[in-house]
Amino acid sequence: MKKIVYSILSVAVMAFAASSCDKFLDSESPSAFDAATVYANYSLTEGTIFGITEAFCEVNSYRGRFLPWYGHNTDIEWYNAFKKGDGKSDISGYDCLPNNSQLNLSNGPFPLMYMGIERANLVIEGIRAYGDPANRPEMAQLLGEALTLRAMIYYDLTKAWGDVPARFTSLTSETIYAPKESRDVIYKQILDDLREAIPYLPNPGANAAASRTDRVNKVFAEGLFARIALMASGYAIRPDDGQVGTGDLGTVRLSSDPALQKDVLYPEALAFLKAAYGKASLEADFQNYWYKQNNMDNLTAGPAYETLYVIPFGAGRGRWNFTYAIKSEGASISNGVDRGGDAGPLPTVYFMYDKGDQRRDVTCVNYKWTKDNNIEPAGIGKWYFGKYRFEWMKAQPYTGGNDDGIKPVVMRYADILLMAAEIENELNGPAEAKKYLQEVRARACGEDAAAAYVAGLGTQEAFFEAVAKERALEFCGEFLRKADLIRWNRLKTALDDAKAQMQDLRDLQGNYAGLSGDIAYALSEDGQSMDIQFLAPGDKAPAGYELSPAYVTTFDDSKKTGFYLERIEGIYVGDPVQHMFWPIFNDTMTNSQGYIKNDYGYDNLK
Amino acid sequence: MKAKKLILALLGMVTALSLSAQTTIKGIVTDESGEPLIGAGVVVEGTTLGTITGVDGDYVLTVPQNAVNLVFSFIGLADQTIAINGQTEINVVLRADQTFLDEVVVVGYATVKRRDLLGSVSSVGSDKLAEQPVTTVSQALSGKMAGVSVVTTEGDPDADIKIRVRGGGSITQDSSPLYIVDGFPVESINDIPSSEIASIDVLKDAFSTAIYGSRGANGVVIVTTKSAEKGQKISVKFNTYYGLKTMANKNAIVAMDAENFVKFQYELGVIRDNLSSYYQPFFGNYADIDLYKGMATNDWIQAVFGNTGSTFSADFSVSGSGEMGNWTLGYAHMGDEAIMAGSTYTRDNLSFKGNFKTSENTSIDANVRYSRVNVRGAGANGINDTGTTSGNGRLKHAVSYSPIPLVSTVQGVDEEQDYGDNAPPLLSVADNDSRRIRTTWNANAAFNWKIVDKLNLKIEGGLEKYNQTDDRFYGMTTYYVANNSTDKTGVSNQHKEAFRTKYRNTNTLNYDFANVIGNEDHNLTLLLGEEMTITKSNLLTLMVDGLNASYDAPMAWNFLSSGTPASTDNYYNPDDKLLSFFGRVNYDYKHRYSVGATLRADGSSKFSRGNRWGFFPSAAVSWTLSNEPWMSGAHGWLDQLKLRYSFGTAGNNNIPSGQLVKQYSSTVTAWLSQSSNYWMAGKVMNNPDLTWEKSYTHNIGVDFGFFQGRLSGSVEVYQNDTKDLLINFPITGSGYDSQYRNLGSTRNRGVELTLSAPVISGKHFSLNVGGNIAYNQNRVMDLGGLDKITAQSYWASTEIGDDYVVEVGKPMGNMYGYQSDGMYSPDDFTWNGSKWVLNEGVVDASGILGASYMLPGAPKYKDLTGDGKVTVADRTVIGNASPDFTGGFNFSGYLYGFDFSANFNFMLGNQVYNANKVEFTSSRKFNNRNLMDAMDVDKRWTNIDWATGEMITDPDQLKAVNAGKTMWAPFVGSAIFSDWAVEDASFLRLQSVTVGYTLPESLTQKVHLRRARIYVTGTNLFCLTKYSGYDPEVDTRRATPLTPGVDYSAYPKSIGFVAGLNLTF
Repeated sequence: MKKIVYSILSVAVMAFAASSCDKFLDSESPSAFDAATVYANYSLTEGTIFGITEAFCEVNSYRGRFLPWYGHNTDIEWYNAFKKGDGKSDISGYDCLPNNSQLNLSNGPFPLMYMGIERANLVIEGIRAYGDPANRPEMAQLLGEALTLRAMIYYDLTKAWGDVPARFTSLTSETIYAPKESRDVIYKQILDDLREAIPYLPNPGANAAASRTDRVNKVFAEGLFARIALMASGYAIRPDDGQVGTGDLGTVRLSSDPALQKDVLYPEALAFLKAAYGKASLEADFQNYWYKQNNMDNLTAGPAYETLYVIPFGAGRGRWNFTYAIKSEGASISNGVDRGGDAGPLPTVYFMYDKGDQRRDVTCVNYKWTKDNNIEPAGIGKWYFGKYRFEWMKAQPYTGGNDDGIKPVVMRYADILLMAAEIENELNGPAEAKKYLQEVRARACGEDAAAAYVAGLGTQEAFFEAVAKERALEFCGEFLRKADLIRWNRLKTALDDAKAQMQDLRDLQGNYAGLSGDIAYALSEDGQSMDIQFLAPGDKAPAGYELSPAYVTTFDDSKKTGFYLERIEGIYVGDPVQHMFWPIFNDTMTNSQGYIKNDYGYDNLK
Repeated sequence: MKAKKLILALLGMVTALSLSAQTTIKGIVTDESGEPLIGAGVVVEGTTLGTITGVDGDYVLTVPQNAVNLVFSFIGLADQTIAINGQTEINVVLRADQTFLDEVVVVGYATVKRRDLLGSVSSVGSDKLAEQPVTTVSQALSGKMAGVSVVTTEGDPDADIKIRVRGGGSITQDSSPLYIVDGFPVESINDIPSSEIASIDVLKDAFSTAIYGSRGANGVVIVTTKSAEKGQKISVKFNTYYGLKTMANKNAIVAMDAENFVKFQYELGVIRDNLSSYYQPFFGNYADIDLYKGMATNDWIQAVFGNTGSTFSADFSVSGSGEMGNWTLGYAHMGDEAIMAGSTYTRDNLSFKGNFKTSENTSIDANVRYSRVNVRGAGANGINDTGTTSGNGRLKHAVSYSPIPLVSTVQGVDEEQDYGDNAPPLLSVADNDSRRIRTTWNANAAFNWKIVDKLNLKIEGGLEKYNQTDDRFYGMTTYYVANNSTDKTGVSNQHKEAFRTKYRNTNTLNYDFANVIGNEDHNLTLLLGEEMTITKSNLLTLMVDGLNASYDAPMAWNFLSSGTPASTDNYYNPDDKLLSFFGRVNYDYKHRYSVGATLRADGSSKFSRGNRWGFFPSAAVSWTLSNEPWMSGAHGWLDQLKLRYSFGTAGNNNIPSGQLVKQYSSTVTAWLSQSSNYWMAGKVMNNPDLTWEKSYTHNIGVDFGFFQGRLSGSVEVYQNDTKDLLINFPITGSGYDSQYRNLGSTRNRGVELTLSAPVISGKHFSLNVGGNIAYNQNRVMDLGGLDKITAQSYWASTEIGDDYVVEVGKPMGNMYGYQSDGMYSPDDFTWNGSKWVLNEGVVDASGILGASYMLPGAPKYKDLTGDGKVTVADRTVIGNASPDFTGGFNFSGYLYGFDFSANFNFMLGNQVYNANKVEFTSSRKFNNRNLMDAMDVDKRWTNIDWATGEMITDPDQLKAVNAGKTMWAPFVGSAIFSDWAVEDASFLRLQSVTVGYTLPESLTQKVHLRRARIYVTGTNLFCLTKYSGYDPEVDTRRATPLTPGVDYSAYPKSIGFVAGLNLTF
């Protein structure tokens, strides 16, 4: 009897167990949500937007590799620690190979930018599926933010690598591997994305999120559209149509895609820029703008503010001043540690500014901080970006670590103005374009001088040249120049011209024929900066100034000091046209299982 | 109260009933030589009724009328079962337990005698484990079992011990076997003291492992803890030892002295063409270089690892048995001061195990274990400093750090990895201090019910509560404080608590068909079972920054509230649930022909519906030739000869839970200006299609025994194919770091031989020899269409790149790098007046060396592609970490009161990637770092004329200065991995030698001691090897199993001497 009861019981138990097995074996983390929950909730969705930007902050992402390495050398910015054959110099010298010691990383910028893209794809799909953006403007704003961030990452990817895989939907097991796609496909998609995003986004200051420069606002999206339109319709080395990812050498040319021609994109970009006009302002004083930037005071967006978007590094993240600030050999401003000055303006940039242009002494600095907290001339070969100064970090002094908390500016209002000037001039000539250029110029040189300067620009060509020069003067050290030179098809000529200019300076001829090679220098009253004057033959040092004779002409090519030739020639070592883009690095090629191949004459893995 | 009375009453009745029909049996128990055995157990079979023999080996026992057999037992001798058959006097001679065929072997959910085994099982008994005073049981297993390789990865007291059964089949996943302790699946067996273990059985072929289904694919290690001694009313045991130890093989790595260090810095400055920043600020002018000759230096290796360590262990157990059942209660303590400064280990264990008869047909087993482990110290590579991938081993600091005081070493540092990597070694040890406290409670109970004769039901329940608290201190010199901390003015501490709770319920039904068949020629048994395990876990992580900079680690731990909380996270993992049904049937005919079959169905919550059920069938046959009537003529010399064959499948679901769907979770960050946390779907891509990894094993075995047990053993041949491997596949560049996939297959083939030979045995002397050897060959059969999977060990951060490769048709563990080709000679260059220019036709290695280091004396590498340049394309497979042969052998015996044993283990054909050798002979991008003495100026190539300090530019002078030197110069831009750093690490180690003395019973009886033994043991006394590093048994880059056998900054091992005492009352 007992046996029978047991048998029945056990059969019953087993049958019950089997039927409820699947339910029993379903298991989810209590600390996790699914997409339906996340994207229906505003603050959780906002958290996923931060997930996109978190990709910028990873060790070797924007923070440690992309921002410190994309953008030099140009005719206005160069790497200061030149050492022939060194992996770092190779990057600046257009000799960056697929095994580059700084960039061939599995956690390098390329993989992490795609991590950001995947996160953005998930956000975009999630809000569309669960966030009801048609009826919830706050969700539409987040959708606009995600679309804009994705466009920005793709802009940076195509700027650095040319053609890259196009991933606009979240990954599935089937789509993990993708070959490079023509950048035209990417341009068209991200331009479309921005067309969709711009109406969703509020103007700077219009609501809480849009009042922060670490969040995306409408003017940034409009400016980004123009930036991308300029690049997409501009020159660059491109493989022949249909030959992307085949090891094609490429030629410098315009896109053949009818949707990416200037006559299509410029009017639309200009409309966006005009819409953006007046929605932000230039900071009245150029130096004060940069002082605030260094003093962690650039997080507010609004009609009265210049900054449109920054890389949202936390207070202890980012390596901007660490990399680019005025050199400190271990002064207390850098907490006793040797930091900054990795790159700087070319010495010739100082001489490009008009007399009285405020921007010159803010941008070009030829002194450094020594260990004992003094300022001394740095030598003619080493100039620093005065826009970035440890001594301006008052609110949060730099502690000497690898991170400084500086939030690099991605776009500021001056760029909206100068892009508007360039495009307006291209479409309709200088007449209407002048006001934009004049506005930028006025801050630097004063209203009257600016008006006079602009009035003298009669032809479309002259105006374009003025804009091209103004972009150098305004944005030196902000690393927009390389992309500008590429799209204008001027990269090699500009670099060659820079080499020639440097030779001229070294030999005190050409534009520099009026110099003696001596300088006079004096500390400012507050002891925080130094005035350096290049003297003409026969000049004496003004009162209160020290004389440094033969400052320019003291160089020793064999000892590699001063203005030595190898470094001037090192502005580019590889062919800047053939290698205007970085190669896809070995680690990425390996992990693409053969899908991704290099073009532009770079090596491919066996 | 009432219940108690009732039970007492019932018990009284039972006793009264049995008393009513009893007989008395007496007799004498002796050994083979006729000596009486004192303290031998005499038990009525199937009961707990028994006694022990007295001083003359005599016993008197009252047995119930229905008693059938008496069981006689004595430690070290084979049990004997004698049928009573109405006798009143039974004298017994117990013989040495010499045939290993009589061992009881634990297989899944049951035990069998080795001679009845169908599958492949290796076993170690408590006698072998107790011989060796070791910190962990795993260490004692080394070399004891054929086909079970045990590698102690480093020398630290809580070191990872890698146990691999037959090579292991997985590629990216941990190939550790499944550990079962008293039926309960556990993560590790290291926290169980060896004194508590009765036996360890390792199931190797799929017939044996299939009954465990999941995770059985990599073998199953079954640990059985000790039960009470039979027949002893009360037995008390006390064991203790104390030992001292010092660093082993300490001369393997010696840092350069002051003179060589300074000369190295000078030459580096000359080659980098920058004496003014690399040399002069630290060492002055060249003219003064003689000052450094003979200057006193700091021996940092000695300072960090030179301590004399000590170990103290004591364990105590009381056990008893009576009619109600038997029980044992134990406590064990072990305290270990390791050889590294500030490194300690303590462990306390408490255990209870009992078996109680609750009625004639029912009994209860109960088993409770508690363990607490406390590990202190900066530890080994296992504890990485956040942010640096180059590890945190202490050895590198000790070798690399300047041997003489420098003005400043932090000045001018701009590489991230310099933080925490080149700090004063002792300060660095203190600044990286950590404390790990691990407590585990494990409670199991089983209810046994004999439903009818031969039908037994067992209902088991178990619970494990695990908690590990890690405190990781970050002092001012660490990378974390310099970079990631939210308050860089103070020190930080990370506090982690991992919680895990595991529940298990197992119900099994055993039926022996003997009664149904009613014919002794046929034996048929059946096992049916159902099992469920649920594991819940969560991890609490707190980071506290800005603690007072003057705090040391204990102060940071005690005053955590004085800092600023930087982040808090408490992540709950998805529950890991497993539901299983299994059965086994065994049939044998006349003990000659046996067949067996098992089937297990496992459902795992790690896989989605439709993929989650795995079915693991297996079958085996055996033929015992020696039991055939036609073999009876051989009985004089042949004890047993048996052939076995099995085939079966086993599964593996060894991946983290929660891989199926995209789930968003929040992560704390200090990196963002917008928020202190963000939401994301992880860096590992989900994969809904995951399913079981399966292995298919063929196993042929021969068991043999000759000459009345004088020689016995077994030979096994196997082929193990693992398919649908669960691989954590790297997909960087796509948007995720990796994705778990079922991909490809691997094959392990091998042969194993186990021998046991009691060579001599006599009354006062004996000698036993045992040994095993296993050959394993591993091949990757398929990678799902991919050519290869590469991996980086990252010991030099990213300088080296891929240094391991997995390719189809080749074994796992292949090392990938350049082929060394000596060094460049002056004839390879021409001095053009300002620099050396490489001659036409000479292979150009500047691509990997760095152009400025292309000089005479630079290391040269082979150009395999023939393009005249050494590039990444010239790398090839240059070594393999897997051994061809593993094994061990041991001698043991006794001579009058003395006993002795010696244990050896060996590996043949394994290679080690000696990363230390690369690091300590290369300048890389650093400066002010010291190297090992192989780079002394008079031993290696130099381009400096040390009389003048000038660079030598005359080829003949260079050749004269460097005549006879074979070591290249240390100047390279980054670390380079070549076959020079791959070394044959075959070894033969004398693991331990023990000599003991058991006091004569005549003495010990007087103080009521049953046994008293004193002994001394030497551990790791020698290791014969050609390997040039500290120890050939090493594995430091364990983040992924793709990078085995790297010797990078390993915690050195030690040589120890131990004196101990065993007492039994």
